[in-house]
Amino acid sequence: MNAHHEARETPRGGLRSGREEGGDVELSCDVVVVGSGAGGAVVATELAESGLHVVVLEEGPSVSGAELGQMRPSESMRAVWRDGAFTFALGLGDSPTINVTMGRCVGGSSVLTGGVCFRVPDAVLAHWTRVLGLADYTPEGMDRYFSHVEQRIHVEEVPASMRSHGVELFAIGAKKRGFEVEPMRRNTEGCKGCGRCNFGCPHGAKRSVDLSYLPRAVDHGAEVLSDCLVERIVMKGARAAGVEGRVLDARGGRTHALRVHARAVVVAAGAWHTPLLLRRSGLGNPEVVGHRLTLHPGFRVLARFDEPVRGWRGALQSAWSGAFEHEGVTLTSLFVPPGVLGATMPGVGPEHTRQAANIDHLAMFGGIVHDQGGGTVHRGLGREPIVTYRMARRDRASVAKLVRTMAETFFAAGAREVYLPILGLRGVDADGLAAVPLETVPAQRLECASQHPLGSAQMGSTAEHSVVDGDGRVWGVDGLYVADGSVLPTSLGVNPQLAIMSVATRVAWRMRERREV
Amino acid sequence: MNDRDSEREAPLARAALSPGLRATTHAIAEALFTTEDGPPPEERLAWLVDDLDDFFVRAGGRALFLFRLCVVAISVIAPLLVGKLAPFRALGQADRLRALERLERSPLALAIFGAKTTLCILYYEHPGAAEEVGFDGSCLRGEP
Ligand SMILES: Cc1cc2nc3c(=O)[nH]c(=O)nc-3n(C[C@H](O)[C@H](O)[C@H](O)COP(=O)(O)OP(=O)(O)OC[C@H]3O[C@@H](n4cnc5c(N)ncnc54)[C@H](O)[C@@H]3O)c2cc1C
Ligand code: SF4
Repeated sequence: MNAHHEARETPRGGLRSGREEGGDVELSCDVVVVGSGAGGAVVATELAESGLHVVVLEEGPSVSGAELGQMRPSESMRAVWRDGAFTFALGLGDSPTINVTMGRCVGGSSVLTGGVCFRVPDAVLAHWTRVLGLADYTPEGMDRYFSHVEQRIHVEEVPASMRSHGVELFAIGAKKRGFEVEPMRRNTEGCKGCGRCNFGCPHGAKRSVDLSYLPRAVDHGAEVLSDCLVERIVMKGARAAGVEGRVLDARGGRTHALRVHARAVVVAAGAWHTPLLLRRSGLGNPEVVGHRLTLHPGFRVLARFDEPVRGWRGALQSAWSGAFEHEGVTLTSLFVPPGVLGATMPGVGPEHTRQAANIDHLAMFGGIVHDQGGGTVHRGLGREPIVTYRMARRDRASVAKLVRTMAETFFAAGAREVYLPILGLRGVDADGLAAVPLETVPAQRLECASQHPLGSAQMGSTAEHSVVDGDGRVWGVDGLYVADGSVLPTSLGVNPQLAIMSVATRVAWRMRERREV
Repeated sequence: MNDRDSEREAPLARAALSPGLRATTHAIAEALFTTEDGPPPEERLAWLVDDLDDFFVRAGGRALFLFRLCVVAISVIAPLLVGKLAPFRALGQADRLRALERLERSPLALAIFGAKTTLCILYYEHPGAAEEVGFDGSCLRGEP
């Protein structure tokens, strides 16, 4: 196909803002990919490398690592985090309201990761193959995709020397309590351990998809347009034939019309927006689209030690433990900038500032719940969805176990006091911990965050129970694919970027193997 | 510098916070960051409120809407918890502190948590505030 719209004088290719077109944008290509994050960048690159003309449309701006590096964390939040991180899943019933953060920029949430990489655990794949009928998703069947992505994004083990002192203390406590923390694997090369990963790596060390994939796509003729919001998938009969939307101005306001004609459409707008786009276009099984969203609800515990900790010195995420997987939780190291630490210090006025003055004595560890799902993406009034989340009873019980385990581990390492993720609760010592009713504290008082929305347009083996098949094809629609976190049919219990990128690789390779484009 | 760079660095003209919202936010921040030695320097509070304005100009209307909800909840409900009918910013400092403390322990804690988180993230990025809490991470300060 490859015919460009007549209005354009010379095909420029490359990465550019849709605003640079200076008016309405109309393009033609073989494949248009909506979203440039972990899923979209990978599918676009694999297809471009196979010789197809690919256009990637990204709603957010393009911001380089060097630019991000000169920003304060909160400046990075305003530039590349969706809604400045004011994104929530409203808790229903006995569920906390969850702050679900995601990227909105070229590279998507991949730009904001801590770099943590896990393959999908074998037990999860066993469930997908045996229970959900996704026969090809065995550890052996997925190995070539995992290996390919790991090589492209340079997955390496974090050496113990890069652990922060806070993580070292947690490891000491873990040993005393009879479990080990293991080294994390991350997609980094030449990491300096500056702990800024969540705000964009200023040193080019984190191999996020804007660095590891999209430049390859561009080298193979792909066009990556930032500031381009897709609002609808265009159909010709039963076949997807392109997308429509708007170019956005610097404030995110809708301006010129955007239209891309294509032989195939890949939706990779992330689990928050992919179901929204499908719904707006009247596509996908309405019984399933937007339902069964999982979040890996995350909780953190802070611990105050007598000695200085300065937890921000070291790789942001360097160690983890799967010792409690049987309880439905995974422990992972993390750290946050001083402002976020300050925000978690309870109290106001002198009480708050006294405790905030101790942040260099704080260590931190986090954990996620391997949740059963219970989230729903609803259409909102404006451009953004309204998302609700009803936590399963089993998961609610896991929260208490998770928080108690982390707190007891810090006490075993000599912590004086821990700060639990309960709004308004003051720091507690070891005796005080026993008195905190973690199992029954009202869920709305739990401080909960998520960075892993998944599963809102799930793959499966029947059109009745899923949105796409195992190759990412939307049931009943020709030429329409989904390749992002929304297709994962269950939560993983571990960080998902490697899983998403591997599934996206599979979607691209299967498209080519089947000669569908 | 290309067009996009200049767009990003130039301040976007319109203010996000109305004068009323600015004043209430200033009052909340003054109470929140008061130390045993008294309130933080006025220069720092003014910087904070200006930076907050820029935050919402860039982060967008939905973020501002949610922040405003939190501030309105604080403004209206917190005074009731200490038996006052006046808006939050009309209270004396001691009442402000008691009102925020009570709200933080109430079922509406999420309202103060939302506002407090945003204010803390920005406040502790002020070089003076960062120094006071012993923070020395240059990369996290946005230094090249
Ligand atoms: C702070 C943070 C830390 C994380 N750390 C880790 C980690 O250490 N390890 C790990 O495995 N995972 C981590 N994750 C999660 C990981 O980044 C995501 O799971 C992954 O990037 C999701 O990929 P995706 O393709 O589904 O969506 P995204 O990467 O979010 O990409 C979706 C893109 O689509 C764009 N988009 C949405 N709607 C439209 C539209 N209508 N038109 C055009 N564009 C649109 C969005 O702006 C976005 O850029 C982290 C996430 C965050 C936010
Ligand atoms: S810790 Fe490493 S990967 Fe993270 S921002 Fe610093 S250099 Fe980059």
